[in-house]
Amino acid sequence: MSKFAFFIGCTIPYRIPFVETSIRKTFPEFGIELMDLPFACCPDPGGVQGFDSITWYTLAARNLCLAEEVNLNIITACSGCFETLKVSNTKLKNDTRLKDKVNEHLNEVGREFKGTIEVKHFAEVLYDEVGIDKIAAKVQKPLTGVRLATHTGCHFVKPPEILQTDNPESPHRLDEMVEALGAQAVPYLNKLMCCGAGTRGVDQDTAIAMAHEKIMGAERAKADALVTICPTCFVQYDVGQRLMAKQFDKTKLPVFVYPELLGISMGMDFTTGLKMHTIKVTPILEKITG
Amino acid sequence: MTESTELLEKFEELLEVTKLCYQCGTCAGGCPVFRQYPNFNPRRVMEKLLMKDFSEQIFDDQQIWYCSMCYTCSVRCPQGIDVGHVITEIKNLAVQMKNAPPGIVAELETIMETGVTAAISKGIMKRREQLELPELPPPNLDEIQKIFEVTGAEKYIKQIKEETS
Repeated sequence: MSKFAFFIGCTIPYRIPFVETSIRKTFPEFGIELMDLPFACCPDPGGVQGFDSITWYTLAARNLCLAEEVNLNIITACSGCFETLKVSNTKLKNDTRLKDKVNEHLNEVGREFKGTIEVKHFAEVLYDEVGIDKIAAKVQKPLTGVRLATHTGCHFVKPPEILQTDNPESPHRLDEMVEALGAQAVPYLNKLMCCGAGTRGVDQDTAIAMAHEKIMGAERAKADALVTICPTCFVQYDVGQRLMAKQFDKTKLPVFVYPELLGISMGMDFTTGLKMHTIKVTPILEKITG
Repeated sequence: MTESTELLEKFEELLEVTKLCYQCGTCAGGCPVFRQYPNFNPRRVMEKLLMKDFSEQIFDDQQIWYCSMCYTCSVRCPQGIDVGHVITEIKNLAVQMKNAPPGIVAELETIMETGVTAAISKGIMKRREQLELPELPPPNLDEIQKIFEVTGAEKYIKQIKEETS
């Protein structure tokens, strides 16, 4: 049993809580215990880092301090949180000038960053610590014949020199993870492309047009669904398809976050949560359960 | 160190990093925003820095905020320039010069006031109940607000709102 401080973030609990269900149900099955702590926003690697880097590092360090206090490594449910926390943790451990500046600010709230823990993404824990074989061994309802477009997303892999998870120009881990469930990971146009969420704060139409390119790539490859490991990308692609319909032809490609498909293939019943998706997922469920 | 010398020092650092750029355009070629919105062009941003040409008001301009922070440019730059990071630094400097889009300022304010970015609606709490999800331990808002105060973020938010109102 390995125990982690569970960094759930903002998007999952307060926008797409059904993803939280899928993580809380599946991870203990692999011997992973999740502990809730009073974390605040990671904060957002786009908006907050862009606004003021020192504020970004300090708020991130405050979250890291909470996990340091209970001596647990962090597991993040969101790729944005992963980037913020792992980049901050790594830079603060290696840059004394930055650490001193951040600790000066943290001192005002009675905290100090020490650099005693590690930060991991949930997909990293599944791939590295659980392993593909053990994932495959848990599958009861294989996703046979399901064609999936995998979207690894940006903040799981970049900046690569710090995050060190997968090849940023040719990611393969998520492909292996969906194939462990019996599905087929299909090659498609714009597989590496950013979901566009980072541009949402300034121009919604451009952000949605970026997400639309991805959906078109997946549709042309005749994918049954798109699967991500990031809640922000999920929102862009699932809720986003409703917004896309204002600019482009209507699409209805089901979108999942990986732990949902993991749980479904393990025989779990996620009916309540799956009904909360914007794009109906029933066609693909019928394909799985027959 | 006064605020303005710190600003100047940051600015010189940026120009130093940019020196290696030979304007090949790999950053623009891979940029997912540029494909949809050609007014945002990372190569042009680098060019303006190289030429010290601020006639197009690089720091006053909302265009810089179109960057989606995907770091494709940083991964692909043949000169190893972390273009995405340069853009983040420009955003930081723009904020100190009282410039940021309303959407970004609103996000910062939400975090300062609630500790999270998402609005916690009654509807979402009902969904959490339906899903039988546990109550989450609330973040310490006093600490969050104090951090916004001591880093200067609270002051920047106020200044930008005064500037735009």
